[in-house]
Amino acid sequence: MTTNRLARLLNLVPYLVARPGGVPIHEIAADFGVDAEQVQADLTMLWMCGLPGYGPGDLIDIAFDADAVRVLFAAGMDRPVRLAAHEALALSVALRVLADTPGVGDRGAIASALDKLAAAAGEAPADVTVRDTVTDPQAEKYAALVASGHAARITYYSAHRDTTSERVVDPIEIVVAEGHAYLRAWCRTAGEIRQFRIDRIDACTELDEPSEPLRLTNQPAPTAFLASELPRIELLLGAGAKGVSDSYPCEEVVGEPDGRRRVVMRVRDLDWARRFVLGLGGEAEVVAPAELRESVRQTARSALDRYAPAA
Amino acid sequence: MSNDRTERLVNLVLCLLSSRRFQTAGRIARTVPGYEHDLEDKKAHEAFQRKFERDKAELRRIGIPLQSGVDYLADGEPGYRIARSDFELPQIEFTDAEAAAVAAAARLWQQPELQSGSAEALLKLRAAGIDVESHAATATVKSLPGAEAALSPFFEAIAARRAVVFDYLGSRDESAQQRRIQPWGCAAWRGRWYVAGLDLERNAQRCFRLSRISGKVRLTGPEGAYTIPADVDVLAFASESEARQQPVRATVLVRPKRAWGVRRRADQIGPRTAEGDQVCFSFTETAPTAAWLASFGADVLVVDPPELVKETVACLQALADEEES
Repeated sequence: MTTNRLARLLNLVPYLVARPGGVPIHEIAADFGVDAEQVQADLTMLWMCGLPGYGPGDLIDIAFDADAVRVLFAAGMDRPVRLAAHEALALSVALRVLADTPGVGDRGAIASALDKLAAAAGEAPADVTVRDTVTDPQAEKYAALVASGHAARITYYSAHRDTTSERVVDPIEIVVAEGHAYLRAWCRTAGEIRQFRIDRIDACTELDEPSEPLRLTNQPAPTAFLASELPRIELLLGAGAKGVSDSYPCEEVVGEPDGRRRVVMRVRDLDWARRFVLGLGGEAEVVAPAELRESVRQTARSALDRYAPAA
Repeated sequence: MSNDRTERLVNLVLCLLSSRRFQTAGRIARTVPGYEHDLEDKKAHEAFQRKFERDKAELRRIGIPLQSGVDYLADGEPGYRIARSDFELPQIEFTDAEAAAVAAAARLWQQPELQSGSAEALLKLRAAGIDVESHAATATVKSLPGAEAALSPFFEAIAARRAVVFDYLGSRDESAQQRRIQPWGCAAWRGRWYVAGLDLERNAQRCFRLSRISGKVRLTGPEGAYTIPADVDVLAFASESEARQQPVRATVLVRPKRAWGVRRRADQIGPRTAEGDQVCFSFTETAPTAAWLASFGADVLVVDPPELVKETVACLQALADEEES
């Protein structure tokens, strides 16, 4: 969290005014996203600020002992500063996205929080409409599955492999991106965290055992050390496929003089990579390995042969 | 910011808040620690004025507007004050559920400007005595609205009524084209962000998908350069610009027990022919559909419509000829 020190100082006094019982220093530090030493430094500076005259009775007075910090004299700064336009906007747009996302829960609370924020903002924030964030009617059902805390057995269609398989997963959360909802879960079959597009889950049975995604422990995933042993591919991406470097983890991304993008990435296996490159519609050229280049070319040639009689 | 400047600014705020009267720059210089200088020394006074201007700008940036005006007691010399009603956050109370919603909202942004905007807003709410839990358990649903990087410059431009320039790859463009628009508003529809406005080159209303903007969005020209027409409905623009593409029926032949992805999308499968099962489905955008069909290789033969056949064959040719290029 990055915030301005001046803004923090101006918030610190009313923060303490609102909590007359006193607040432990580590709690202040957590609330303001800084460490305890910084809070000490901030309090020390506030001591030297106050009203014109700057005598003992004019300066901000803060008392602190081992347990808590209290403000004794606030020098007229009893309330925090109004929300600036960009602050109110950042929060209110995010609230609207939440309100429009299934499974988030209390929509009434989101709506009333929005109204209160609008009233508290200095000026009316821009009107931003958010609608149909998720078009999948099933999203709510999977949000409930995550909330249940249970593992599940799912039948999943993998587009990159063009196969359907059954697997047991430990749900973590629902992720929403570009109109699709995904179930993020630890996949016990793959031994790693995967995202399952909800409209590609053909069947789902909630199991009677708890969801225990490995992510929640500090242990590294068992396959993590294998990353360097996964096949490495190198591609040249044309204009239409540049988005690949934003959507997939790449080890290297280099702009080429001809405007293309050279990327190096690790893939699970070369068959996956073959489908992946084929799906980029000729916008990607395989640089390495030669084996992948050849299999892409062979697949495309055999497909073209089927069109040849008509042509 | 230096310690001295931070301290000076806190004192400036307290000083201006403490009186309803406008205080002249001279009086502020004499009162607030950090501004003291010899008022008769021209150079020193100019340095003070520059310092004071920078300080005012900093306060404005964090949401504290200084009012300027003339106090009847001050011989017509203009002065400054902070009106308490402009400065203070009005009384605001949240229920636990509302506070939880606000905390979840603040965690939504991935993009730095929007992230720090909501972080600063949270601090103010905490300072108002509301316990917004920043470390609350992760919500079960996380929304990742894409293309956020372009959002905050648009918000800024709309608020200031300034024009923007950006490179845009439209659905019919071969390469990105520079666009100059006066933005009117943003909306999210089906998980994608859109901006609507007046396209200054084409002198017509246009709607843009933010994910198709490449590179930076730059603000250009003066503030207050235009007025936003009343009752602009960005959402209607967005859905209309997408709806202009009418769905088309595709017919393909799929080898038995192959290309499950195509079968899943089908609204009609069969009859089986010598070359495979006849599968029909609807699509709107030819290029991505062709690329997708090409990924199934020889398992799929596209039959209809002709432009989809042509595009798929073009994809396959590009893929097959790759080695020679």
